[in-house]
Amino acid sequence: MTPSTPIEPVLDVSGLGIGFGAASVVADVSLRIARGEMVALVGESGSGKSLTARAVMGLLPRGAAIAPGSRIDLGGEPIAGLPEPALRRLRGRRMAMIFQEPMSSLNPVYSIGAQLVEAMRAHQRIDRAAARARAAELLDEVGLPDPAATLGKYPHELSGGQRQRVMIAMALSNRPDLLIADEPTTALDVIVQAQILALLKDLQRRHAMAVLLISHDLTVVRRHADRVHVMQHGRIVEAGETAAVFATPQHPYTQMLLAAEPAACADAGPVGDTLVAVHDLEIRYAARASGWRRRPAPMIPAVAGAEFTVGRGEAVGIVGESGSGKTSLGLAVMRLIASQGSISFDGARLDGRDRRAMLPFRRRMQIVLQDPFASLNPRLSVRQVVEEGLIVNAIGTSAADRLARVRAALSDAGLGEAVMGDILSRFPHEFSGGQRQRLSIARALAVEPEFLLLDEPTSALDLSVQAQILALLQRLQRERGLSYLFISHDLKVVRALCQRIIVMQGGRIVESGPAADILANPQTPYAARLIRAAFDLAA
Amino acid sequence: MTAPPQSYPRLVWQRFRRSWLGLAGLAMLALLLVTVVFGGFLAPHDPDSRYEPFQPPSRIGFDGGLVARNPHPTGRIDPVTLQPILTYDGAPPVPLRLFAPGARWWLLGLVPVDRHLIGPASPAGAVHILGTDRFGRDILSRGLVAARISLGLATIVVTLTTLTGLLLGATAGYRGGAIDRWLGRLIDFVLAFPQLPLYLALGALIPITIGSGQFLLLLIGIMALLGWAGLAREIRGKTMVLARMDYVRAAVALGASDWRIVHRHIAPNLMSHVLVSFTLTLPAIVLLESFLGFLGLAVKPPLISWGLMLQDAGNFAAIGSYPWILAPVGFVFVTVFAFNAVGDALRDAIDPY
Repeated sequence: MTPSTPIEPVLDVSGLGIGFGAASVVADVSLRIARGEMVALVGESGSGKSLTARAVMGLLPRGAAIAPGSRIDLGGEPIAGLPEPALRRLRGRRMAMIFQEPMSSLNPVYSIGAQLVEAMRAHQRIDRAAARARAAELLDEVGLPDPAATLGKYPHELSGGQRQRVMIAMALSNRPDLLIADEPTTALDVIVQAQILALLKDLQRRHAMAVLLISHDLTVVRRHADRVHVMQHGRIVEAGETAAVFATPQHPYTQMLLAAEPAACADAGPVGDTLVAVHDLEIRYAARASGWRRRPAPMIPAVAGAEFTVGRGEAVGIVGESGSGKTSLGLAVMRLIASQGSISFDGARLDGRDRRAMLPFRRRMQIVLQDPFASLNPRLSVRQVVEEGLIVNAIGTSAADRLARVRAALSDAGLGEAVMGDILSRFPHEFSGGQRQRLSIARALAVEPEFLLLDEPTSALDLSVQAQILALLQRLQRERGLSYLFISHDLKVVRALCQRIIVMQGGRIVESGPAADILANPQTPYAARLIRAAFDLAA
Repeated sequence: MTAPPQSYPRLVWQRFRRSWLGLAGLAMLALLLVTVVFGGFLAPHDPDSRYEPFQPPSRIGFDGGLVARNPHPTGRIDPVTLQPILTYDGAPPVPLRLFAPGARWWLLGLVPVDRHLIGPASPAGAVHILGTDRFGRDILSRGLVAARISLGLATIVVTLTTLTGLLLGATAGYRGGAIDRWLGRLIDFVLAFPQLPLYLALGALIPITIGSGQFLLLLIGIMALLGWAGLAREIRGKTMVLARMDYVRAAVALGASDWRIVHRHIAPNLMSHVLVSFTLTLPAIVLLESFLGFLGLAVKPPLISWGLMLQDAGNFAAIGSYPWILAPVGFVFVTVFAFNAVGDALRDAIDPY
């Protein structure tokens, strides 16, 4: 152990193994966390980091079991293999956990106050009034405005960040020695992420808690963790002081992870004439219509006065928080949702065209969407997925020609026969998230488009896979002169791919210009906050 | 990526196999199918021939070969019920044999055959394993032959309701807007009816002089008319979810037509739901048919259905004295159980992803 580890750790795990039946998924994991220390567990999806945390909490999923010989000591007492009632007394009181999804961790039918009071009364002898007063204190401590009023609110009345603050308050309510935060900010916007992490760090110092932070986000870990453990395939491959691990990573996997972080800036490639031009675009959603007859429903503006161009061979990034209208804007450019204002593509006006009149343009502009699991029809084989665009656009002279084009598109997307073998008759569920995203790209490439709308294409993927997809997109841009409209909340990814950046806030474009200029010298405070949050998390 | 690619039906079958109840149901379904096709062969007698009325079930024994003994009157009368007291003692044994010659039946309505799986060795003998009804007709033979009408009626009704429900539900869910609002109200309207009185009222509207074939068609029509709404509502909801999936959006961006999106991207993802709904609705219709028959709305003779057979069981005095006339309940029970077991196992197996 490193000399910085004090004598008495709050959590001491050694030789932890977890198996599903005979299959071992976590083996020989050891980690110690002292009072007042934040230790990070990093790794990609499937590395076993969440399972490790759940094993400590005694919350393993059904079918998983701790291997014999594993030791988990909390405050010097062994807790591995304790019966459920004993664990239940420890959970919440001695150790607490914050989950990734703040939307589903709170019960929607109880007020915030009722849930906090319940959490306290489960472990402490405290009357309702005192618990309620304490709950208000806690909400104040986690930085929620007007705690007394928040106590009476219901989860749906709070934003995602506020809900996560409530979850933290709940975790703190019994003053636990150990706090486990499992990807506490993954579901939140960048700026909110930075705030929540700063809050966690602050609370940890003030209460001298031991915190186990589980994250795939290296920037978060680098900034906040005292020590870091890197997991791969259920084993800890490297552990040490955060600064040391980041400065001189020893294990090849750690090196690969660090290298996969998008750090480069996109080169300013040759940009041709204007391909897409959007002028004074407005998108309004109708509030829910009801009743028998069509009544003019109130319209809620999602995007107003949007104006930008995308040049041939250029990648333009749209950044902004969720709800800023960036996805709506992208879909409107593709004429997939209704909008007012002018959109032109290669000189031709697209606005005002109905679905039939859009057909000649469909094959020239394509989309790749965020969720690799929702964007492929599970009932269609790879061949059917990629061939669809060829069939509906009557591309290809014969079935053999179409098959050749399908193979070419797959190979362009990095799923060629040389790499994957023959995958034409396989189904989407047989592929990983990154491979599915490549399939989506192959589907778009098959019709040989000039313009791609990429809506958060990498945000559901692991860091190393994200790097591969970005490299693929860069190669395609270079080789084919493709133009991209790249929607993302992750400025690092945008910086790596895009020549120009559009910053959106509340449905309006607040700033746009060459990527290097905006990143170095943001004009609006909002853009500045986004950049700070993305690159050093000190917002 | 090392596992060999597996087709969807294969995956479903692999998971289906894990449910022994589902496999048992499947075996029973196979037997039912055999009964539908070879009902006349399995039945020992012609379903319309008359023997002793209300004869209790024959006793099967062994006396130098398989024999049946039919009870005969002792000549005494039960002083309470005033029914003649019957006895099996001294009854002449009726020898039985496999592939016995007997009444003529038509294989698939085309080929005349006069052999039966098991029956009295001489055509003059009688064996009533489940007894006889009030006209002296063999209940087992009638039950086996009725499988064709009862299951056929249920299959046609469920096919009609499934097609209607699928079409209207998918249309409402995919098109949305005014069409959805009007179809939604129509579904509510149909579901809001108190169904049982409506069945009986509609049944009463059918003219009494109508032929049995036309009566059957009208019965099917009524059942189909009132049965589609539940499925339509489920399909509408599922279609709305599917129509918002990213892959549908990607298909629109590729320029796919509405028809292509519905039949290529939405319908295949609805099929598992429809299949399960089919296997679970079919027994409900078999049950409904027997139930309505019990209440008097059954197919008209000379057609035979389980519901029609149960009409006789509506009289409590008759059930008390001749409990074996409830035997058709057994056929309904087996059918409903088999379909429900298969439907449940299928539902668990159908989404392996």
